[in-house]
Amino acid sequence: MMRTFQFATRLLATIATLLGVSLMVFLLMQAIPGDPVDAMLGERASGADRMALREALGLEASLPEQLRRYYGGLLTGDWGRSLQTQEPILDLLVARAPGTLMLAGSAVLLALMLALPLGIWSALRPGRLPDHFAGAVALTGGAVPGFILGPVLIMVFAVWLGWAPVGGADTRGSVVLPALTLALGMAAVLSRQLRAALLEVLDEDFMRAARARGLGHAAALWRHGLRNAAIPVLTVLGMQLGALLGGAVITETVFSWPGLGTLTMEAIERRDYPLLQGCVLVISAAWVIVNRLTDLITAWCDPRIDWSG
Amino acid sequence: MSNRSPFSNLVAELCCLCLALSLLAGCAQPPDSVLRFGLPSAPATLDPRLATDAAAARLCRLLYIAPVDFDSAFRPQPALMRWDMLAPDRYVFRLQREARFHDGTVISAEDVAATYRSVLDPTLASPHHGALAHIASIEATDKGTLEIRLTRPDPLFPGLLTLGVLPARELESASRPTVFTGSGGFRLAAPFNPQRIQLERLEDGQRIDFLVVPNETTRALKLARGELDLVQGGISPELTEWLSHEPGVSVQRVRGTVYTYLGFNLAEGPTRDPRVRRAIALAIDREALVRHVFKAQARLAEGVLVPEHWAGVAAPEPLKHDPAQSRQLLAELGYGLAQPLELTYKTSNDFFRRRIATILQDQLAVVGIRLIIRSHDWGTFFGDIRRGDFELYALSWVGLQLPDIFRQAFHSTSVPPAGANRGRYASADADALIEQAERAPDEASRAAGYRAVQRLLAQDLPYVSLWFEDIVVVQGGRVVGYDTDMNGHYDGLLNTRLALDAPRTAQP
Repeated sequence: MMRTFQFATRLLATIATLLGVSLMVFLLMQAIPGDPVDAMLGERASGADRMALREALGLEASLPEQLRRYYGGLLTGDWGRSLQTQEPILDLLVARAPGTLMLAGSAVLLALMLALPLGIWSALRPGRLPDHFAGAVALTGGAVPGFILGPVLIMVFAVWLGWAPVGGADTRGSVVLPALTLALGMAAVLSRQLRAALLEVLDEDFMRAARARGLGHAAALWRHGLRNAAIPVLTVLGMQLGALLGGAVITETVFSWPGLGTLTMEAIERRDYPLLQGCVLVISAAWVIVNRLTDLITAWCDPRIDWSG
Repeated sequence: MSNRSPFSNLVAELCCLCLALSLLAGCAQPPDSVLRFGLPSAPATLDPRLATDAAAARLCRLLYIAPVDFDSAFRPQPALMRWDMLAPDRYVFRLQREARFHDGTVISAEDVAATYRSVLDPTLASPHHGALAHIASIEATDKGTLEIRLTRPDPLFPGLLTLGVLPARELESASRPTVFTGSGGFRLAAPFNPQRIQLERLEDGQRIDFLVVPNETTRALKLARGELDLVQGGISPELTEWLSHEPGVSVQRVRGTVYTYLGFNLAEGPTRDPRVRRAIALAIDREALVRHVFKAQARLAEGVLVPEHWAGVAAPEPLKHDPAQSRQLLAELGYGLAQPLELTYKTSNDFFRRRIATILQDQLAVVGIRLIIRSHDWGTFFGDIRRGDFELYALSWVGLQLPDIFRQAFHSTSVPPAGANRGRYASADADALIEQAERAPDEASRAAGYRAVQRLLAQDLPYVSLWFEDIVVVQGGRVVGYDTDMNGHYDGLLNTRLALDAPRTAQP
């Protein structure tokens, strides 16, 4: 009963956050410089045409009226049309979402494949050569930004070795290099987080008790150590996944990956304000929802955590 | 759980990753029969009525036939329709040949009328509306004849009918299609996807994919690697030079019409004074900029129109770089190295534009002008320019074909929002010359009139003409017969073929 109440509270808080985010997006779009009518009609349009279009787009309405229409549209699935293509914005977002989901999912998988062994390895041998090596690898992965790492990976794996395509989403293998670019940075953070959490857990009484009960080192680590160390790692992973779902703008651009990041860039370049508004809203909503889900998962993993947190 | 150590796990997983990457080698190369054309940005639309970006306009030319086209001297030429000017405000256009939409329907005058009527419909919000707003009526008098009346005389009007023709029945459809049945040499081979536009050549079924690769370095690497066959424009001179040394890659340069200029505020501030404008013009070493920044992939501009244009100046007197004279002019105004003239230069946050700005800053410092660079995002920058909130700025005009640019950019009635006279240039002489040229009864006197306008502009200096950028085509070894024109049209793809036995480029 308590859990249900906590869950309901959490859900209401999420809805309130989303409402706040959408309001902020709306107000930000009102504040950014540049007139969408200029972007649509160009410099040769007459004053009458400009005014007619402003009225047609609802830009002449009062701010509360625009806000009412905005929320009405959001709730009924009418997110408006792109100024440039005149296509429904929701269709454009839905068309790009699979690309971003695939890239984010692949990046997380690769990051976990790298971070788990690195983090465990260095936690089991703290202060020794493997720990220093893993630390150096993590530091390098975290320090090199995507716009440097991406071209380097392209040069090595695509141009010199010819193992993967340079960019685009033409073949199944196209996702590997952009996912790896994102994964290396994530793996760096996750492995250090896991190392720190494991070092703390390995020193706990319940670990010594588990070993005293006759559990092998690996089994104790797997059954008790990793589960308890996973909580902070999950929190960080959730934050990073939320950011990735919003579109890894630079990586998508470097690799010409057709996702929400490149769509956002296109909207900015074309000054397509309604589309940009839709992109920013999805990016923000993805971040909020994934983080709330992460909270729920961590609370499920560790019953001591308060769901309403 | 396995008894392997975490280190063994790491090694095993890294091996798996390398194996997976190496397995990709087989599928890294796309199929051979498709020509891949790299684009720096996605075309916003394939609706010619809404297309404004270069890629969209060029693709629309491949998909749709337009009533009128231009020849190499930018004279309007009949494409689908020829015309008679009954009066400067009344034209009759007649279909000069039978042409069909890709579904087999014959294109009629009603289709042309419906296309242009829809552009005039304010609810479409077409960016071409402004240029065509003086159309009073469009009537298809029979299947092959169209009568157009204008609200004011316009001898240049036929040059405005260059938008592709769309089927009337689809325009009248309530479903608001965004892609229409075409009529050009290509058709869409797959539903419109802005990131990957797949066209098929009607003549022989040759597939051409236009792939959007926003990052310039990635675009160059894809070309070097053979994942792209052709890239036109959007590659820096440095990368073009690097690509030209790659095996199998060739570079073609064509003179272009993209005109870059330095604009002044003529309504207020120090740049109101023509001596200040002259001093700035004399201090800029345009040749050095073209040689070092563009690696000679541009030519100096002496006016808005290229010399090849029928209304252009064939052998203009070049604006000389003369810092000594510039210093002398500034000294007369009380400025010098000890007491520099301070001016603010606005530009966008584009890397290349900022680079140009810093070079100009350096060149002007030599004569005693301290240039303060303000770099803004495009919306803020262009908004400031439109409002007249600047002293100096640099921008480009793209796709200039008609001399109506002189009214749009220099007539005193064209101050934004009524036009593009951003510097607030107000000259009774210029207005009179522009109006005189517009009223001229024939092309020869019209051209003479516009040349007189250009001579006056060269004296008054509302702009300092900088350069016309070349169109640079970089192609892989398989591409045979691609050629472009001064406007950068993709029409050459109609005759391009792939030499399938030739290597794409260097293979790893």
